[in-house]
Amino acid sequence: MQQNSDQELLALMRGGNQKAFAEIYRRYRQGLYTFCLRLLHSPQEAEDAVHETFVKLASGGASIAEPAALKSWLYRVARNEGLMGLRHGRERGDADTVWEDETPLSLAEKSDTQTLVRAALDRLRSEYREVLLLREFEGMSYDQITEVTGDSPASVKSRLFRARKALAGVLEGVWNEEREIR
Amino acid sequence: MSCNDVKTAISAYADGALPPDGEESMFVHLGTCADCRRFLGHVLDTRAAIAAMPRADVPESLDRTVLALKPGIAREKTQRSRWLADLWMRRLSIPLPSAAIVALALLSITIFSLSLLLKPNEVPLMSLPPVDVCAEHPGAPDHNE
Repeated sequence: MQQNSDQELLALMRGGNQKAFAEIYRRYRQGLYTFCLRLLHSPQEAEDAVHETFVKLASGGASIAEPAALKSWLYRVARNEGLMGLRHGRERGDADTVWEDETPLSLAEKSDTQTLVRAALDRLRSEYREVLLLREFEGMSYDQITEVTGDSPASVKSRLFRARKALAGVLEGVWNEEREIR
Repeated sequence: MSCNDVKTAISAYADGALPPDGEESMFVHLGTCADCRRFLGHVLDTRAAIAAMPRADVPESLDRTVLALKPGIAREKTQRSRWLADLWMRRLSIPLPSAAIVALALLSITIFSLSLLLKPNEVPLMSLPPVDVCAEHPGAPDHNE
């Protein structure tokens, strides 16, 4: 089963093959769970979102138009399931800001770069955080991100730029310090 | 090309989505602008840091519930089994004094119930055998005649 492509696994699963379904889960479980956890900040909500995604897949995944797009489909369902329980960032606050939490990072308290980057990422509004995670963490192309979020490629490109610009501003001190150490 | 245009181009460049002519203009600008060079550095550093973030451990409960699903299974049924699984796994947080009071009350009710059941001289009326009054008093009038 590990050698099979997503398309093959999906076809087998639709025929009721339990092992094909388990292999699809094994392939995407960690990426999906991590994405949902970073997006939702709640282990329980992340677990529920991933569970609901596979319930939908088990019932046939009827809305997967193209079997090659299984990965995008899984991330889109997980994202939508997760955001249903969360008041989406777009619906609240000032739409001009990329930040959900504008509390400044305390660079002095947290010396670990990884912790600082994660803290800065967590402060972004969900629509900025999700595109960065899908791009940098999952290595998705603009087209794949478009399939997941339902936004246009231009909007994805613009959100990535704004998120990067905001993070560069907040993390400038960290990167400068790292360069001095190097 | 303004710095903001170049920074937009840097973001696209980091994604491998910048056309060759845009790339050339960007590098020409970078040769003369320290601020944009710094921005490129920060974008690449942030990108590497996010990509290096560890993946989260998947909870066992998720593995269990998903792998119990059968392809083609009805949605309602899986939701019910999940609800039962959640209920079974649920832990309640009760303050110790409240738990002690509840335990004491349950213990008292149990002792009181047992003491009622085990009283030695008290025989429940329903358990007495029927008495034949005519047989015990032969002279008494028989209303059945």
